[in-house]
Amino acid sequence: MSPSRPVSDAQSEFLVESGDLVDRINARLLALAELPPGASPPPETLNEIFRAAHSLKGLAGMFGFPLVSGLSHELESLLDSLRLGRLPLDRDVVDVLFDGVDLLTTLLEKRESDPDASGAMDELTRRLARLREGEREVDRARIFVGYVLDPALLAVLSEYEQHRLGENLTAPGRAVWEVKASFDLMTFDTGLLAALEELRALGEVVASVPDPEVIGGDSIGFKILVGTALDEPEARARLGASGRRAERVRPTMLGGAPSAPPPEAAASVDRAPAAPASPVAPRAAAGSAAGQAIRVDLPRLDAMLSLASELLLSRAEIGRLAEDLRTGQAAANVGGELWRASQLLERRLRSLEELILDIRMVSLERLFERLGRVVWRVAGDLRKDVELVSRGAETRLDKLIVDGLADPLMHLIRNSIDHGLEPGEERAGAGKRAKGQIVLEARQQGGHVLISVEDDGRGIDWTSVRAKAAERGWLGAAAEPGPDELVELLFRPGFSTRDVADEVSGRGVGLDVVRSDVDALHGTVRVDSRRGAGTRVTLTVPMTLARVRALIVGVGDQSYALPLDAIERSVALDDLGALGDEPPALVDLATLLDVPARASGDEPRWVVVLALGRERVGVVVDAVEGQQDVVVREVGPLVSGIRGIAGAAEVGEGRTLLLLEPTVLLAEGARAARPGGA
Amino acid sequence: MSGRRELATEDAIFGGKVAPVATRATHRELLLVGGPGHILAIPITAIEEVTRLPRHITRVPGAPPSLIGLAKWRARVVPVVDLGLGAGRDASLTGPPPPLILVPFEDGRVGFVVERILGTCRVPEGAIVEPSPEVAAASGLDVVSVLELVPERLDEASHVPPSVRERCRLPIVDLDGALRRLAARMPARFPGAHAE
Repeated sequence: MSPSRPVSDAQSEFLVESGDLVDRINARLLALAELPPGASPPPETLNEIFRAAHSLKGLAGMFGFPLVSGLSHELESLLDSLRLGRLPLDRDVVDVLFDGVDLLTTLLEKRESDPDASGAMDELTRRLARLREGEREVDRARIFVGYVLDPALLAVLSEYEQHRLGENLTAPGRAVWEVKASFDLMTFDTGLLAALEELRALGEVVASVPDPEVIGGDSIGFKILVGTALDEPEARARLGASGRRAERVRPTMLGGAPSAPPPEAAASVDRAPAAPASPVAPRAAAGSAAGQAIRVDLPRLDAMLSLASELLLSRAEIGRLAEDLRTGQAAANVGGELWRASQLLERRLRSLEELILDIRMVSLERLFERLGRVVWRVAGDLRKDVELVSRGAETRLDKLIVDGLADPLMHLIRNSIDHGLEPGEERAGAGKRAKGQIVLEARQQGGHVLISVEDDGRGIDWTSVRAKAAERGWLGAAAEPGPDELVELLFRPGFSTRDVADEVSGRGVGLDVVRSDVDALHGTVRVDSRRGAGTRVTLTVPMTLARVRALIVGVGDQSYALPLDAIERSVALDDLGALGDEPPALVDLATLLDVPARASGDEPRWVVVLALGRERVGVVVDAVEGQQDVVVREVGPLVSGIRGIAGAAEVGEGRTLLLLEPTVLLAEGARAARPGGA
Repeated sequence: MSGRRELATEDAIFGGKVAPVATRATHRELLLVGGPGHILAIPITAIEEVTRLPRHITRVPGAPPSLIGLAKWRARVVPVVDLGLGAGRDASLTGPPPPLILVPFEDGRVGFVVERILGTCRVPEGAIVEPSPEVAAASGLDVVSVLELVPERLDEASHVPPSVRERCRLPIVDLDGALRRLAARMPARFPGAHAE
């Protein structure tokens, strides 16, 4: 892979902006993909995609991204044909648009440095050209001649406005109204905007043009063409409210309305029956192709600026006190003043830190939208009818964690559609709804977020898992693995119950990759599956790694930090009875770390019980030293590869402690709990 | 050599970047570190900053002895390595903490603790030669080349601190190579943890 070219500050901003535009296109495309077969695409949705592609083209050209600009231009042309009714919206079109979005994302992420990009671009351009060969010319004059329309008005309408006018005139149950409104010349812009907003709630605003009959003096008039499904009395009353006048555009006596809609009016979504429906709401989202960048809204930037100003005040105050001390002019109570100034400085610094931590948090909305696209693509490729239900997309996590979740979640969704969901006929035979369902759900639990991918498919065939494991020599012929051990087998590198890796989910990688990705986020993976009923895979990840509430424990002559939200309770080692009838397996931290425990004296040792989901472990430590909010830093090169170290916890006065990874301790506990375990 | 801009002194080195001064392309700048018994040279271009070893060091269980631990440096945490350059130094001794040389490595930084900074020198490229096996072996370190401080190899633009003038051969250490070798010896898990 070629390295990405360096970018200037301006280009960085462009990458953020363009990422937003690509996200917007993607979200609107999902909305189109969700349309039921035969439905007409909402013109405003098509328009939004068209406008986003147009903006991207201009921006990319300006910032020196010719491939992005060129591709946006090609997509814009196709979108223009769609919105002008020259092309029907069908699956091929949606597919090529999705591919275009993928390619745009790649081009932006790799700053156009990907050597394969040029070939992919050529291929996509060819597909776009092939689609556009099917364009039809539309004779709108044939429609308009049947209606009483002012030729001067028609002459100033753009081709798109003429198309929308024709659509509204000929669509069953709709009518076009000419609304006349006049505004004060000094404030007409705001008046017109308000009127258009009001009219948009009643129908489609096809066009608004100045009315030459009402120009002069202190007023300016506009003619606004509105297509609406309201019945005539209601339309007249509501369109004509607020001092406006509304007249319906009627068929001429001679020509009458065309008896049948012209061919282009029949444009509809012709989708493959296997196309999935996804309730993932389309929504513009932040972030994206800029990768490491994050968008910050202005109020939060203002708050940061305000805090920075307050910090400068604190600095000035401390500087003044220092100068007084230096010159021997300090007041008697200088110590107290210095202490107060220092307290104020600390409060302000903490506020700034809180704000920055908050800015790092982003919702899962954009990721869920991307996953909606994955469902659409994979279900389409496999000809399966799939519905995606998403819940909890508003849950917020650290941006780096959200970014790290994308690959494992995509992998799980591909697995669910490919291996989990049965073909329609098999589902029908099993008494299930023909359309398979995947539920993508996120919810917060303490300082962690649980994200699950659940399908209502055939479930995991544990017999087959056992057989495959035996075939690979992972299990003895007489082995009777328990449920947890069977699940563990799924995470073995190279495990697959499919003989041939297929295009969609095989590719030689399995759940081991999901686990290693989630490990890197200091999270866990849990699999629950019932034969015939479906499979749920739950990823548990921390909301943030930047700051946590920690329990400080002592082992030997050093202290360590444990995330408090993973801790159930602490009891003295000689009071294990307090842990009830089912005490967790114990792991001695001194043994795990291979450090000498403190010399035994009168002080009792402690058991800190960690729990995540249903997993529990009792960690034996020499001392429990207290709780504290800690800022978590990366441990840097050399040390970052040691499994079990989640980071370095700053505890003040320049001290750092190792923050231990609860999942590793839980895994050690699970191993200790097994028969014959350590 | 009076009248020419002097290179950074030890006082000027601490707490700031060790940026090479403008010099002829044919000259190299080196930081000289060590003590009376051993002096080594480190290319200044490999150094990000020189600071003092922080008081608090967090040990990493299972790490090789040359990784002393983790130290806080500004808003970061850096692994601190002792390649023997700071050997014999007792951290509990009074006096200023030993110098820490920060170098970029992979996506972060690593600090090398050394016994003493002796200053910087500027020498012609021709003063830097291939190491003889004896020199490389004697230093016990990753030596990539040798600085020969002999009159015939120096020129008018050269600068050598007085404290090392009498020395004629100084090993130049390959910090990056040393770190790579250390990285290969780092454990993947805690000493008492089980492999999956």
